[in-house]
Amino acid sequence: MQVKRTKVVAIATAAALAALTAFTAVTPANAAASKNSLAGVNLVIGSKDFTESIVLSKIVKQYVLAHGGKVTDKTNIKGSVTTRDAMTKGQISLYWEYTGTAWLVYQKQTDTTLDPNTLYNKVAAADKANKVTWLPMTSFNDTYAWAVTKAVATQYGVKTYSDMVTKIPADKRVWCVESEFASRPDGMAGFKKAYNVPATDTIKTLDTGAIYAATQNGQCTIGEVFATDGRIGALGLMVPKEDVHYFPAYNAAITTTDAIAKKYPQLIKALAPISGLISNQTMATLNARIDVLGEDGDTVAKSWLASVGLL
Amino acid sequence: MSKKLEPQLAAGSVYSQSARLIFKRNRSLLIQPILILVILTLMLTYIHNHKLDIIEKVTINPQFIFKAIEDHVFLSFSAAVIILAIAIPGGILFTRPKMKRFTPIALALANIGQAFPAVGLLILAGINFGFGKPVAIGTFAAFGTLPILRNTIVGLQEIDPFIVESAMGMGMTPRQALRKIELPLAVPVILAGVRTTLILTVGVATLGVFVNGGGLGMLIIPGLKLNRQIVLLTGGMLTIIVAFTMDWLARLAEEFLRPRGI
Amino acid sequence: MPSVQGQEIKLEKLTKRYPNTAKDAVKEFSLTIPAGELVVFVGPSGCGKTTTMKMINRIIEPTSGKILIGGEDVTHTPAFELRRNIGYVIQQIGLFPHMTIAANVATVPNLLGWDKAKTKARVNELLELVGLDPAEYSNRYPKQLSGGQQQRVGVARALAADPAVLLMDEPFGATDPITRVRLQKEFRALQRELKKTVVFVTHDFEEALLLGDRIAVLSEQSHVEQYGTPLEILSAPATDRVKSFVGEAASVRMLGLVSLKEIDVLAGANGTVTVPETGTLREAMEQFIGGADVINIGTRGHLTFDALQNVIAKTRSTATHS
Repeated sequence: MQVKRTKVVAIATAAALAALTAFTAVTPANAAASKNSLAGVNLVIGSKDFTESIVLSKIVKQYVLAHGGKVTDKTNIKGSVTTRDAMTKGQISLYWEYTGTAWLVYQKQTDTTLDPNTLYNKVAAADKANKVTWLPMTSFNDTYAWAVTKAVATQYGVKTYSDMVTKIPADKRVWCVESEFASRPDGMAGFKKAYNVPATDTIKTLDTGAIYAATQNGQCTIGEVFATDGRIGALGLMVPKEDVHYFPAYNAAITTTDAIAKKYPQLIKALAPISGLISNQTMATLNARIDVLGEDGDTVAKSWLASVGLL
Repeated sequence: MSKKLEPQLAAGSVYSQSARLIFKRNRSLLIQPILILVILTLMLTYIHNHKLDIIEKVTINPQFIFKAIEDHVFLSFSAAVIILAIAIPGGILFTRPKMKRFTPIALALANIGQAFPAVGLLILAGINFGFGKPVAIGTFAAFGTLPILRNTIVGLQEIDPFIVESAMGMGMTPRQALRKIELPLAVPVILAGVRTTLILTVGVATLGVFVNGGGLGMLIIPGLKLNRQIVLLTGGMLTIIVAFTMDWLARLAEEFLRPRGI
Repeated sequence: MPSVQGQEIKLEKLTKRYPNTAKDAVKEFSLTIPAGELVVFVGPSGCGKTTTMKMINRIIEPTSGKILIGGEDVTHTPAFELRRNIGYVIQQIGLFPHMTIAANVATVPNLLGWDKAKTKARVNELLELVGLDPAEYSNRYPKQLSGGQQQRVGVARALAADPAVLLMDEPFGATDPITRVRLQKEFRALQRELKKTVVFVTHDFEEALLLGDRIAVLSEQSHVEQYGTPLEILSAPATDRVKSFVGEAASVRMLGLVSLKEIDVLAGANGTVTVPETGTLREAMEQFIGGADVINIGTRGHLTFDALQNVIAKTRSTATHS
């Protein structure tokens, strides 16, 4: 019957259309980003000289490579300021910076009470004057932290940073910091004031990596560490609660020059969602794979991207 | 040959130099301290003219700098003393006829100390034996032993064997020959080695910052990491000044101790 | 200062064998060196003469054998003790470059603990003895002296403690020929005065003839081919080896060894030419070659050519039978 046939066709088409719509609606937006969505993008990717900064940049690198872009790897640059300068001078295209660092060191601000979001907004706005673009920030906050061994925490009942100063006996309090922390305004000097650390306390200056081992084997009671470092968990250390807010927020975000942002808008759009996927736990795990298990940065980056379906 | 007689020496006396004669003979000994003072003045002028920000003020202040220099001199000097205490007797020992066959082994062991990457060895030592000046000094000594051990051995081997044979033929005991003949003749080479050691230890002591040893690395590394030129340059220039000063003092000692007639 | 006279040296079967070698360097060397005499060890290079000499003061330790000095067995006395009583001069001289000439010469007296005044006097005495003005040279350093001067200092240094025995290994070898002859003659005069027992090593036979009271001609492994006075060796070479070492014209050179004081002369002095008695048969022969018939020997007498030939024959026969 003719009416029946038209009905069948109509239903079939509608079904097909519905299926098509459903199909496109279910797949992630990035599926529209094909293997060559970043073709023609040519970047020099830098990073600071510690594991977290390096692996974050490797994630960007592996993503860009997987989508047809070209990358020159210039990760592992010594020093925050050196890395930033490399970008503003055009030697690298982008790197991951921390809101706290930009606020205190580059923008020479002193107010450390701001919450992470407010801080981020202010930093990104201020950096427009420097022609620097900030992509969205991570959910993790890799601020400076102090670590003690679980044994010390139990022995002296240390639950907060104040406990460290008041409950650990003076002759047992040995603080270990690394030389950049000792020289930064948002470093040791400020902390001593905020928490009334006596001037007579012993402070040792060590290489960053050495601090973890030295804290674990007792040569330091209190070691300066980073909140998302994988070695904290691996070496049986714990981070007490920051009861008096001192350390500013250090959320990470990709920073790049306005020029690059303008040149590759498709890149900015593609990279924007990445940071939101990295929590404190995720970051610590990625760090531990490199620092504790000895895996290679590019491998770890690739496998994580694959696990969240971004590859 | 000069007609004028040199000052009289007591019979058997080997060393005795007049300060005037030394400086006359070697102009550069006067120039070196002047150069050091020039660099120092330039550095102080540079600091004075530069407005320091809060990061720079942490390290560029008299208290911090004097402590850094004091620690640095202590580290390098102590390491140098240990090196010399091992390498000079060691060099003498390994040139004695009975010990000669062990010389290659000794040199190989000393070589190992040089082959290790410095920071790695320092941190390894710190983790195992405790961070701080003693371990830093010990590790620096391990790096520096080879050049001066080799120097002492070469210095002693280079002495004309017939001079030594003469000495033995006169009836000196081996110890007397060592003391009166071999060592005085090896002094120039040994002292050159001392100078090398001091410069080396001054350089390597900048790594003390990584193991709680202090020193001028406390300026250089933060200066580098925070990209503060003035801090980096101050640390660097002070290291050079310390090295030049130690070198100058060593050269003075060399001139006073060099036996005449060589 | 009166000088200590030389002592007799007796070497019995001295042998030196270096490890990992097929043959002895020196094989059972036996010799008696009379007190107060200068004995020359002469031979081709490699014959072991220097090694033998160096065994006497044990710079090279003998593998076996005995050394007696002045009748005393010193084979096993501590080496440094022995050497302080033996003067030692080597070809390379070996002055201590960082010490003054005076300090160099004073080496052994200092080792023996002489007092300073005595040492200083002795140093001055010796420097004068070897022809160097103490005022000018005492405070110089070896590098300021010429080779010949250094060699003299070497000799002075060896004599400083007045040893009875002197060992000298080609001591004048490092100088030019003119200086060398001068040094040789000066040393000969010195030795005549001091009468030390000297063992002198050289490869130069002329030097041996000039200086030696006795000569030991050595071949491989320091085998003694002949041991005798210069006259004996020249007039009666014992083996072919010695003959070839001595070389040509032995007879003519022998003439130079015979003093005119010792020969028989004919009475009367009516010759046309006079040769002083301080001369040798060689000077006499030169006159005859020059055309003279009769020559006066000083004021003692005269010689004709026939008489001369008789003297030569007698000399030769005396030499071979002594």
